[in-house]
Amino acid sequence: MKKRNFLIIDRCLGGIVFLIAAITYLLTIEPSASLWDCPEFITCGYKLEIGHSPGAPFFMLMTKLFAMFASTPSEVALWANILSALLSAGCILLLFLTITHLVRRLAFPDSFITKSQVLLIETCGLVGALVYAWSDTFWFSAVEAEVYAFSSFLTALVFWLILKWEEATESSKSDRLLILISYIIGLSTGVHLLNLLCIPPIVLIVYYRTCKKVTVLRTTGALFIGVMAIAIVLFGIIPGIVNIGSWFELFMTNTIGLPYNAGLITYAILLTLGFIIWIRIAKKRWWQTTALCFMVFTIGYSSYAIILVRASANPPMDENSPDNVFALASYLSREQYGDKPLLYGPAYTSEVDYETKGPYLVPKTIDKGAVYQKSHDDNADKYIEVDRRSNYIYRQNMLFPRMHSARHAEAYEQWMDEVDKNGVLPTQIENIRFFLSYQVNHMYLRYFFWNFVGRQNNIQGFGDIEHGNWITGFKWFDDLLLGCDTSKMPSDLLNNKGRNVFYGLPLLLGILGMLWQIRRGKRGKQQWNIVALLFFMTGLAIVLYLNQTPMEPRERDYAYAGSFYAYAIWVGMGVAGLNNLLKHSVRTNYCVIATALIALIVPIQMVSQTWDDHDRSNRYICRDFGANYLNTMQDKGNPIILTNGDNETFPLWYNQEVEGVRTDARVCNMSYAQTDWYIDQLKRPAYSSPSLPITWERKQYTEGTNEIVPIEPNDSITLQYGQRSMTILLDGLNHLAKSDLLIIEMLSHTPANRPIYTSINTGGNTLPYLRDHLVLEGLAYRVVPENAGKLIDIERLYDNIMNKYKYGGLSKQGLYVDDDAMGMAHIHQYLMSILINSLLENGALHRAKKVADKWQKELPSYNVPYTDDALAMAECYYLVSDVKKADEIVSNLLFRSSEWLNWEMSLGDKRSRSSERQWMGTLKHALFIAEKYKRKTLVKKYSQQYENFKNKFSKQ
Amino acid sequence: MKTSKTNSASNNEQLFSPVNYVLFTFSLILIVIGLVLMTGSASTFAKFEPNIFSTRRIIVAPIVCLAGYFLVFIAILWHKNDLADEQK
Repeated sequence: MKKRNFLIIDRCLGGIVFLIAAITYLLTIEPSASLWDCPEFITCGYKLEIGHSPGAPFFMLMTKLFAMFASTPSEVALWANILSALLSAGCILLLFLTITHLVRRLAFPDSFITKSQVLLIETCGLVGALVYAWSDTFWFSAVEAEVYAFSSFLTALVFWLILKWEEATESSKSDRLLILISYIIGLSTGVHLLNLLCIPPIVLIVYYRTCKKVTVLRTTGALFIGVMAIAIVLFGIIPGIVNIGSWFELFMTNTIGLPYNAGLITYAILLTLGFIIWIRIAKKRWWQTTALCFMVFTIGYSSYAIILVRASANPPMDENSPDNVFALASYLSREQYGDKPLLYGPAYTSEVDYETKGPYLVPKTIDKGAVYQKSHDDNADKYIEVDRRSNYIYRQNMLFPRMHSARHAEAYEQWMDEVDKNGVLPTQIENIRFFLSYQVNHMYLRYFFWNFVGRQNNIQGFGDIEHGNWITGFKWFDDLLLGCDTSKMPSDLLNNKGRNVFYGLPLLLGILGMLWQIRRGKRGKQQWNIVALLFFMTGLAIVLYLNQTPMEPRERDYAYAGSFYAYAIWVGMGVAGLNNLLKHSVRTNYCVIATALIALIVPIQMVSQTWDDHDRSNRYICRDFGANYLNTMQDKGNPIILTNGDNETFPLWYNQEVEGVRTDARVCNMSYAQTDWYIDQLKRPAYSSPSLPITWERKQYTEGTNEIVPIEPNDSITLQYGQRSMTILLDGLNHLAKSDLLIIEMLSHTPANRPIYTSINTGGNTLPYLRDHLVLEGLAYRVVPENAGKLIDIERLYDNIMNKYKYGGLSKQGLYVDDDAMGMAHIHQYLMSILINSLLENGALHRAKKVADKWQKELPSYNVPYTDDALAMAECYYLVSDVKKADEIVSNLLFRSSEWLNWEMSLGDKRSRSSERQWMGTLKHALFIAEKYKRKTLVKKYSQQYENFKNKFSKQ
Repeated sequence: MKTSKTNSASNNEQLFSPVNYVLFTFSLILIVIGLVLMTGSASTFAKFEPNIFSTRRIIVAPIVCLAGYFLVFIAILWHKNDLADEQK
């Protein structure tokens, strides 16, 4: 058939693939905000506020567009998720079109294609696209409001466009595609910088298309140019455009004396004029195209002006407050996250070099420039230098340092099973071993195999056998891989919904595809180079660049979705490879049909495994639990809560900003409290929450001032909190940071009726000096002036758990509860167990039973398996003579503990001591309860086992 | 790889017609108007400014900006010659 007819069929099938993907994602979409950064992004999109660096202004605009379809504020999150879902379906469509394009160009470059050849090409596209659509990492990002779905779509779009350019006749019309690509890349800087990784494949394709003679040397040169191009854009153009603006601003405001932003406006006008002149004087086509490419890139990049404008409005969420071009430059370069050395630099054991300055020894530093801020003086507009940025110089440096962070010294040594290095640099062999075993294998290859071979469970893995490893589904292989008998794993792990096995079929198809492609002559090899370059840039190149440290707070597979996209291209081509294999054994007429039927089994088998752990319907966990934190606090008095981590801050902000919950309260995140821009925000009123009780003047907390204040060891502070005296012991501390000083300031100046709370996590861990002054009321502790010991406000805790808290749909059968949601559910269960125990101690049996019933109803064991805390509930049921319910809990815990302990015993030396300790504790506690309430059968069954375990473990 | 047949004419062919440049200008104007519509009074230490979430600033302005960004797509892709070429 003619090429034109083929294209019609191709596009129709593409539409069908789009629908399949869109329906998949819309059916499994999260109906409200998801955990981690999603609530922040949704707020930023909906109310145009400023989120964490480097911001995502174009993503913000698109989220705002979709949010307008919401009929109530609680639907905004859903529509933000729909944006991700539709863009992801678009990405799948593009993958389909890309695969069919590549296969057709490689195998059937003539215009005439037979019907069975069409079937083959389309099946390649179908299989590749569906394998990717139903793969772990891509699906995860497709149903939540994060930038990664959008970024994947733009990467796919740019890649497909450059392939279309390659096919078109070289002319000014095809140049348009190059300009379009530049514009999309410009826009993508306002989504995520991952898109820049497409540049080397683009350069390679342009080289293959335009170069008359392809040689190894020239190809290497093209690769080099491609990588250099990223560096120029990432480290030159993107910061450069803003930095030049800052020179204008500094000159025109400080030297000439014009008001703020005069410099920026002049710069914008000059830049526009510059482009107009460049385009007019460019006569040669390639020169003009280049000029236009730069121009549209800059237009796309200009979405960051939105950040400047909105930050100037001082919205309640205004991270880094980039309301002037200097702050914007620092915001864009992600300065707050620090540099990681790449080619040469310090290792984690390196000492800072010192030099004498007068009578003191000061650390040697390299000056990195001045920090300018607006003068906060109402009379004159002027930028003043408040601080200077500097980097330490280290005494010992090494090449390609992979273990670079001193803060993670213990984590590095734990991973490497190493003795303390005692200040000596790691050897290059140790360095490379860490690079390969942790950064490449654990933090990349493991994710790759999750997507194309199989995944053990959805629990975060830290190198242990039990959590987050990749598996195949073949017992003999997995036993070898993990070094244990995988069938003996406890049922908790084997039944984990995150367990997906594909028997390595997608991986094998991909290898078949690679071989098929590379064997098709020079063109095949060139195509292979292009796909492999994309695979590398969006995979291993990121690993090299990130130089990740151990102990990440979550799995980072979402960052490598581009590399899995590239591999999915090969999976699609594997169908053609399979067809070749079958041609020798099956009659030619039916060969393609047989291939298609066999190949389609692969994605269908995949989705049968991955659907259950990607279906996020009916989950309201993030929204409800965020609201719970806020509602823990009293209604009156405009309370303040101190929090620390993302998951106890962003859901709260989302509830306040988007759904209008408790806008009378204020959330104060301690990890930002060290910065001047955040203290500025705290000093401003927000909605109905008045400014926080901070009397400091701006110059007292500006960056560089009072960052750390030394104190006498074992000092203490006595202050007036409310109307009562409060003594805070600072034992063990020899300095206080600005954030600590802030807490003390707030405690001293808050009026009596304005209580301060800390979140349950922050009170326990982050603020040790407040430990004696906390009263538990629920997900938050109230800070009290007197020494509270371990006081629990039973009445408030009861009211919160029974009346105020919502439980996110966790009672719904079949709900998908992932690792993070499970953790949050456990916190609620912990509170319930404390409440039950307190009520039992006070003899309030009837109320304790009500709490136990609430537990069974809202956090049932079919969604949240029992933990040790549930024994409080069991005890309560024994006391009210509901023996059946109590026995169910105790026997469940006894059974599972012994299952786990049997498993740990089978591992010998490799067993996880923390798992062993935890389950021994549970077994002991459960036995104690069983004995206390005379459950003879259970005691008889398990006490001997307990003694056995105790003996075995103490011997090893 | 296909040999590139560049005729000498196409090297001097104009990439964009005046219409495209008009569209570019119009897009830029839209983006700037959108940004201007987004500006306004700010919250201060003394007072929270609910106007920062006014309809003009967070509904009209982003729509205008987006319209500008989408118009650039049209500015790049608009051409009237392809119709004539396809008929050949």
